[in-house]
Amino acid sequence: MAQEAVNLLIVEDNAQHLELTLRALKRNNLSSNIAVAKDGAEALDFLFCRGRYADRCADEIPRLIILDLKLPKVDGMDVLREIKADERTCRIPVVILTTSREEKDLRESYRLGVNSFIVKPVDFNQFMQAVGQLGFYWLSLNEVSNKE
Amino acid sequence: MKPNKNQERDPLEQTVDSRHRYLEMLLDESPISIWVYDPETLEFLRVNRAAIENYGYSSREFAKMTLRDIRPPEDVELLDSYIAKSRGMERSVGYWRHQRKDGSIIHVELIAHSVKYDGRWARLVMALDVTERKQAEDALRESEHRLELFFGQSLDGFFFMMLDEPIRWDDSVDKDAVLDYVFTHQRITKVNEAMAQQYGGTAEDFLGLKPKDFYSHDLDYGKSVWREFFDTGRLHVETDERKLDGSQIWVEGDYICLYDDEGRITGHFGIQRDVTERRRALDSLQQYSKQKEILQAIDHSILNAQSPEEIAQAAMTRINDLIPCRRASVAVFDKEDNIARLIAIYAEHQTALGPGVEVPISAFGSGETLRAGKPIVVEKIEVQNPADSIVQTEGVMAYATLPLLAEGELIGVMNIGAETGEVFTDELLEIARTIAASLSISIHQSHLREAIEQHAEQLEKRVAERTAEIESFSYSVSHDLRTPLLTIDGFSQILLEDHAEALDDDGKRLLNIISDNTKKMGKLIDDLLRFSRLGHREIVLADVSLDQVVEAAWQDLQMSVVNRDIEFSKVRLGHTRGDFDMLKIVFVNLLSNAIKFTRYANNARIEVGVEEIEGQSTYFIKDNGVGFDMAYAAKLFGVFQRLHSGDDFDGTGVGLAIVSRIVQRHNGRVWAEGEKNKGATIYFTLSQSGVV
Repeated sequence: MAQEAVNLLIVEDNAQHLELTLRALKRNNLSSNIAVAKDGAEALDFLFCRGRYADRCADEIPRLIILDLKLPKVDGMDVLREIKADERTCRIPVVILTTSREEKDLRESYRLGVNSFIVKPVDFNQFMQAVGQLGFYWLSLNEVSNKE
Repeated sequence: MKPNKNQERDPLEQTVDSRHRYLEMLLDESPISIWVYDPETLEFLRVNRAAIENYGYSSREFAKMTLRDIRPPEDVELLDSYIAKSRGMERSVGYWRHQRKDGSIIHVELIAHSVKYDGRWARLVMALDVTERKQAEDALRESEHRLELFFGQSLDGFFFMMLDEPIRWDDSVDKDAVLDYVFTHQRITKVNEAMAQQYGGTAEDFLGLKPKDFYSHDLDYGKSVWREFFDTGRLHVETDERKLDGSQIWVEGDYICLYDDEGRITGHFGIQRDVTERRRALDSLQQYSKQKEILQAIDHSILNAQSPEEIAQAAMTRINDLIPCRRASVAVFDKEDNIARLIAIYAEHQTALGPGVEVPISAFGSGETLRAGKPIVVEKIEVQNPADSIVQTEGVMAYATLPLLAEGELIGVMNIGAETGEVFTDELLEIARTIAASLSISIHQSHLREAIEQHAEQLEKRVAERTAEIESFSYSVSHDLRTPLLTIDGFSQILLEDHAEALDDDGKRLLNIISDNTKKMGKLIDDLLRFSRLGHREIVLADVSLDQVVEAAWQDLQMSVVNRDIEFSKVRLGHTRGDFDMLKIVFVNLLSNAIKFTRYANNARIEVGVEEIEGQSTYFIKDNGVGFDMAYAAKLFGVFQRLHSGDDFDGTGVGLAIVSRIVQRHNGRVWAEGEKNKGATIYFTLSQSGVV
């Protein structure tokens, strides 16, 4: 059965946060065609069709990547760097969704070309709102440029 | 001669007779005393008129006298012995003293001849009175004697220096050629004892010496002195000459040219004094003041220098002006490695031993002597190590090593190399010691300064490390502490949503408490992070309008004054130097506190103002809220210090701590005044001069 093209790639190592994020997306009817990577290395394998994703069609690129910063193996910032440095992936919108409020993370992320930087609110209701809004904006409203 | 009446007489008789008369006439007319005496009896046989006049006796008296009677009594014996001796002599000559009738003594020159008188042998004596001549001669002799005495006894040197041949000295002659002649043909002909002593010799040593002997060290100089002298005829001058042993002598002299009748120079006369001492005193005074000047200049540049290398080079640059040397160097010791490193040198020539070269400490000789503060002087290098042999090939045959001591420790040496050890006089070693002392102090201070700078650098590095640690800590706090909070709140909500039917009201209430506290914890973490970031955020100083700051802060707080009736008043605060964003945080915190604590007040009032307290602009924010007990005023500005319960007023207790930290970083002061239930006033100042 041919898989549908992935709309959204979530890179999140924290299973509970992933669950909360997915719940928030589902609540906003944005839960179709989501792929999840548990660490930075898997995210890159997925995007560049390497390792267990070797068979994935490289032409199918997600409409959005939600990226946590503190990740095992390859750090979120390095993932962002590689995404934005590669011709094939540099046009995918990347939204950082992290608990970090660090100024230097913000600066570095924007320097590398991140599209949004959202601090996870501790308040779950606010979190639900934030994820819903970002998903709606990037997946529904935003027009993606796939090809040159 | 006229013929007279006796012409007819016998010619011979006539002849004899006329001769006799002539003689008689001659005798009587002669101005010289003449007499004839009997050699046996010494009786006068005949005396002439001159004798009678000269001696004061009449001819009758003479007739009764003998030769003895015209002698002073003491000369009679001498006369008798002379008579005995001269008997039979045809002619005799002599000087005698005679006594006149009046007793006075005259000196006479006598010529005696044997003659026939009245048919028997007698002596004819002619006595020339030479008393006057003799007196003149005696006077001259006396005068010469006195001059000789003066010459001999004088403390000034006297001399005559005469030319072998007189010379002409005018524009018609080649003066250079004449001087060449003079320098080899003018000789000392007379010299006194004082003069001989001045030059360290005897009068005999001097006689015959020529100008070239006195100016062998600098003939051109000597000739220039002579030229001036001959041009003017006299000269007063101080000259640099040489003693007989070759040592230096400064002579102050007056010289007078001697001329002959034709105006030619025959030589000169001189009076001179040894002024070497005076001259040396003057020279050493001048030298001393020059040395002092150079020493001061060296000291000055040492003081302006920073590193040991610069300090040492400042001294080396001028060392040769003070101590004539071939090379000089400053080395500092590294005791651990037992090496001395050259940090500055002076060298007249290319040298293989330049700055940066390292030699064993032992190359500088006895550490014990140096540690005792004494210099080591090596008059003749005996090669003991490679450094010795290098300096020797570069022309250094002797050296002096001076210790550089700091707090009793030998930190290095100053080394001075010369061609001969004679350079190292006590005086110059003292100068070297002075320089070494300045160097010691300055190099030591420089070392201390370097150590302090190094220490400061390390501290700074540690502070940077600590700051990085704190940053990574707050990063962890920010991320890792907040992560579970979201999970707790999220799953509490999910529980409420998905399992609402399984929970009774109390269960739901409990879950909400969990949720509330999670949010509170989140806010605490956020405030704590803000506070900690303030500590190491860089302050951006600029001219700041505090009125604009307050305006911006008030705008930020609009959300919190919705549905509130607050009388807000503000006077013009003016400008200050500070960080706009940080000062805004100050006002946001203070105003939000005021808004918060006036929540339950009737006619809530907030006033922002400024007043001059002790000459300093003091800003304040005053409210009529709940106020506080002054007993706790000091606790207000601590982190997490709260005077009101969380139930009455929300907040984390960080706001005033943040205010305090920002004010402190503006070199200001913050304090509070208040009364319970009557309101509070927070005052703060900002330094105009600077910030930390």
